[in-house]
Amino acid sequence: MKENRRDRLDDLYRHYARPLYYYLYKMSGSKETAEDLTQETFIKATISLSFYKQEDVRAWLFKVARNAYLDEWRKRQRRKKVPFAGYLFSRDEMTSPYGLPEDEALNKESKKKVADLMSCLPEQYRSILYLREFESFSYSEIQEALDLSENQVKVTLHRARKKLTQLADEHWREKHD
Amino acid sequence: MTDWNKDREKKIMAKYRFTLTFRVMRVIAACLLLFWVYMMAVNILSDAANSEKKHVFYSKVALDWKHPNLYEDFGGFVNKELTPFLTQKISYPISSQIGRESQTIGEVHIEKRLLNSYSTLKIQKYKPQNENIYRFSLPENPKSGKKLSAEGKPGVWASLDKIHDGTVAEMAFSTQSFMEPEDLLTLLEPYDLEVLWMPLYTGELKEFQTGYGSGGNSIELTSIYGLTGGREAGEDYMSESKLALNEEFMEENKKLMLKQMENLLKNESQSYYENFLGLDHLKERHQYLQKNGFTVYGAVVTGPVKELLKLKEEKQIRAPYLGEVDYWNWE
Repeated sequence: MKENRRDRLDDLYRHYARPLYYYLYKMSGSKETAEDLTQETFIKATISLSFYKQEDVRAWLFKVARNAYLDEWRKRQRRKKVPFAGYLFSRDEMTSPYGLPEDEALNKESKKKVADLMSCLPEQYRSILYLREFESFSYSEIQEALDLSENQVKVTLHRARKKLTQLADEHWREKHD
Repeated sequence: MTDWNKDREKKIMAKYRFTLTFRVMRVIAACLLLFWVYMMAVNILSDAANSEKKHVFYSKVALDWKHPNLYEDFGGFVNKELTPFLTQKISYPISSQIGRESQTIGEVHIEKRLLNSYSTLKIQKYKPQNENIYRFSLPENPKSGKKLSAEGKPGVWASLDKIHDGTVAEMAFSTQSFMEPEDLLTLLEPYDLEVLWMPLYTGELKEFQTGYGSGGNSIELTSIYGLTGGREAGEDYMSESKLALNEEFMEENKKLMLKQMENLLKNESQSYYENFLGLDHLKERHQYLQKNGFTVYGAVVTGPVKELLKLKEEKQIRAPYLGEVDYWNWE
């Protein structure tokens, strides 16, 4: 019985490993970090399985993944305050949940792609755009994954799109001036 | 987004399983370590408080008072265990003296929990039939002063007559009247016997009510205290001493009994000595003994069977009970 349950869980994780990995890659900006965070998501999901209340599995896993990403970010920020911690821990860069400073982002080679401009957005805008545009999440799924109300989903999505357009516009103008 | 492949999936899944197992084991190890530290701290604190030694000492005192010819093997091994819920489990062997030799007949099992009401003191005998066989009949009604008869076990004298004289035995009897312990010892002095325990009259049915059995014109109290060799503990219960029950130490024995009663009444809660140790009406009995002195109405003795048989002729002695018989060990 337990064996069966474990197999089912493994199958579920295998099924969502790829979208979660891409989401976390998009959020963190690093393949290695995305890999670590995907397996961390599975661990956290397994541990908190008793809290799972028959909600949408996909939305729940993305919620866990998002929390894993935010936790990792906070952990890295704390480490920065510890002297010599940089020698002990991985120095992989990770995209901030607040987004990169625009000037810096604009100077990056990767800004050529619109998708890369997303890294300039705050984490919430990035998450909501990614889930909606790349993962085709419905509004209710986004509500569940990001712990937002329906109105908040609509407003945040609108603002995220507006911000992305603004960034793309600035980038285009700079390029053609 | 083309860098996804089966290898990456396998890598993530393998890493997830390994990390999960590692974390579960880490939590288990942390719990075990925490448990070990907790148990060590609890044991150190318990040792420092000497509470186990105190419980052992008072359980022996209760045994001395309430159970005729039953005492701990002096210097015997005391087994102690402290559970995670702070219950102290203590056990030690108990003996009975037949002739000159002690025979280990069972064990005392103490479970001292945080609440005295749930704490227990049990005597487990190796032979279940060896239950307390002795009964002592009151010589007179404590309220009216009317003389009472006694009901012993029939055929005791006949048994003693037929048992081979190369044996020793233990025997209990009641007396025709209340006596001072010294007087009873004087009465038994001509016989080659050892007195082990004497039932004490502590004001039952007069100063306080207690259970009793009545067979026509006799009264046998269900809960009695007895006088035996006094027991004392040193500071922090680290050392113990026990006196013999003879004329030389009689005054000392009485003083020690009163002292231990006072200590219990003063330092311990009522639930400790009543529920845990089984010492009922301790306050009333102590008051009675202090006010009226020590009065006994029987004894438990041991010695050669033919010496015990001689007691048949003693007018003061009645209602005999024969206990265990053993091969000759009397010097």
